[in-house]
Formats: sequence, structure tokens, C-alpha cells
Amino acid sequence: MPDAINSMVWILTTLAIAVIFDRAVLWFIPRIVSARAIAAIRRRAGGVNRLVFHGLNTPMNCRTPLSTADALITLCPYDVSVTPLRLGVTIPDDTYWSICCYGSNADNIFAMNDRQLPQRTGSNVFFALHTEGFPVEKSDNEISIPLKSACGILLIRTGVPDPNDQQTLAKLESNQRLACVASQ
Amino acid sequence: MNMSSLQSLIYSLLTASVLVFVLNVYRTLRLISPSAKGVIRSGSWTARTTDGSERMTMHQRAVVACTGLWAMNSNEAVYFTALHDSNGKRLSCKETYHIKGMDFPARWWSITAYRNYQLIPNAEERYSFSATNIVREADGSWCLTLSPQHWSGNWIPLGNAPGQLVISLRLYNPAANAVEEIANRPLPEIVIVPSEQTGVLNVSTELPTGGIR
Repeated sequence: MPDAINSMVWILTTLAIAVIFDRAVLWFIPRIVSARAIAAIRRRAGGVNRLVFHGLNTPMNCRTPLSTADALITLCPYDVSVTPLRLGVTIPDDTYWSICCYGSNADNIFAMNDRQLPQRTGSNVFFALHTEGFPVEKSDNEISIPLKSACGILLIRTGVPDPNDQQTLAKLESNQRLACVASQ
Repeated sequence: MNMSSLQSLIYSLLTASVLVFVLNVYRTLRLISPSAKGVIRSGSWTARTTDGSERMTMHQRAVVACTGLWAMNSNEAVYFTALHDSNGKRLSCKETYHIKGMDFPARWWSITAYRNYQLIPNAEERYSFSATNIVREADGSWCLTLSPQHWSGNWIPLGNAPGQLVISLRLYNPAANAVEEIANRPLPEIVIVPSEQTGVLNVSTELPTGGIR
């Protein structure tokens, strides 16, 4: 009888360890992968709440699995735990454009494309990123982005119609480089 | 803690590790099976509508972080991935493939080739074709070639190194009825080109443009 009880205790202990181990591994993996990638971008940017114009992904500048090769990318590691982050961008004409925010667990917690913007393309658009419930003073044309995660990464993607069309590419690049941020 | 308790704990930890490993292999197989929730399958192509979104399970979130970090949610983009050709054979960077198709139910789309999930270095610096730069026939159809050898027309070079070829089809701003449309008009087949046909192409690297040989 004591052997049977001991076996039962061992099985239950093993199952409990397995459940805890499983949950912990699955919880940590996306956060570690995302944190490592964000840390590398933060080093390039020189800190949080700063923009990095990455341009087109190539095998030389990007080791992210299944990375896109047809969109110009601007990144911004954000931290809005203390103050909101204000972002100004110029929307290109006639091409796909989107702004996405990813939380610390890599979830896409916010996405908006050029067709969902109230303003026309070709104009300047302003965003205010802040945590949910944070009292943020918003100007008239500013789009509020309430975030569930105070830290994460913001990605702006501009579709490149033809990477070999240097003139269009240069125009889109200069357009995207006009983006600016202010933490206040 | 005596020796026997320590031994028992070590066995427990080892057994728990094996259980977790087996469970996650099973989950991964379930994740890519056609019957899994949120999976769209069309020929060789598979997509998960929950990728990138907050609706992902813990396991799916971990898989997406390792295989396609910072994916957009399915309202913004749907990512189809192909690992096998239309005959079910694993895609290889040493082979040549044709993909023939028409436009997809989305605002914009692109097809990108990867070796072991990474962009493939090549002298042409060409990694993908999109709805806006693919060369089409008069009826709007197109033929894309993925090959380590030089091809004219819509050609994505696969480089010289061997490896698992992964093809990604991205639908940006997919139509609201994209899933139904794809069910009615399946995504294009990925057809392997017999090596005797591709061998001829090795002769020249300066091919005339227009049309695929």
C-alpha cells in the first residue's frame, strides 16, 4: 500500500512539474525571442522611443525567419510606461502602408493601414502611443493608439511596388525617413 | 533529502521533460494539420488566420515567434507557406519550380523564397515578386520560376547551396471573402521542372528577357 501511494505521489509530482515546465517554456519563448530582437534594434537606435530606418530586408541585414523582402521597414522600440510617444509620419501615395505595434510577447496588438486613416495619403499623420487608460492630451488630428503592453516594438511597413525601380524606391525611402518621434 | 528522494526527483524531471517534448511535438503537428482551427489549406499552401493575433494559443505564439516574428494579424495580412510541391515532395533549393497563377483576393500580394526560412543571397539581389512587378501575360496570368539556374522572366534565384526551400505568399489587406474565394479558386500549384529541362538552361547565363524557357 505505501508503494502504491508513493507511486501515485510520484506520478502527480511529475505531472505537476510537466505542466509548470510546459507553461513556463511557452510563456518565455516568445518573450525571449522578441526581447533579443528588440534589444538589437534598441542598440541600433541608441535607446528606446527612437526610430530606426531599416529599409528593405536582405540576407545580409536580416536574420529574422520568413522576413518580408518587399516592404521598407522602420522600427521603433517603444516604452510608454511613463509618458506617451508621439509619432509623425508621411503617408505615401499609391502603395500599401501600415503601422503595427507588437507587445512584449510579440502579439500584434495594433494595426492600421493607409486606407483606414482618416487623412488622405501624401499627408502627415500623427499618432500618440500610450498605455490603456493613460490620460493623454490629444491634438485634433492625432490618432490615439492605446496599448496593452507598455513596452514593445512599432513597425512601419511601406510596400515597394518594384525594388528595381530606383526612382520610386528612393522616393519611398525619403518619404519614410521623414517619420519622427517625441516622447512627452 | 536522501539519495532515494533525489533519484526520484531526477526521474520526475526527466519524465516531465520527455512529456513536455512529446506534447509540443504533437501540438506542432496539430497546428499544421488541415483540421486545426483557423487553418486555411489550398494545395501546397497553408496559412493560419490567427497568426500574429492575440487569439493565438501559447504554443502557437511560441511557434510564430521562432518562425515568423512580428507577423501582422489576419485583417492586415495572411501568410501562406509552402514546404512541399503539388506532388507532396519536400521543396528543395537544388530543384526548379514553376508557379502559375492569377491575382489573389487581396489589395496587394507577394511571393518570397527562403532557404531554411532565411532570404536567399543571390547576385541579382532578387528575393520576391509582387503584384506590381511580376510580368504578366495578356490575360493577366503569370508564371514564376524558382531555380538555382538562370531563367528569364519572373525568376527568383535559389542560390547554389542546398537546403529546404520555403515559399511564402503574403496577401496584404485580404478581401473579406478571401477564404471562400480561395476555396473556390485554389492557390497556384507548385510544379517541379524535370532536371532534363533545367539542364539546358545551365548553358547560358545571358538569356533574352520575355517568356520563360
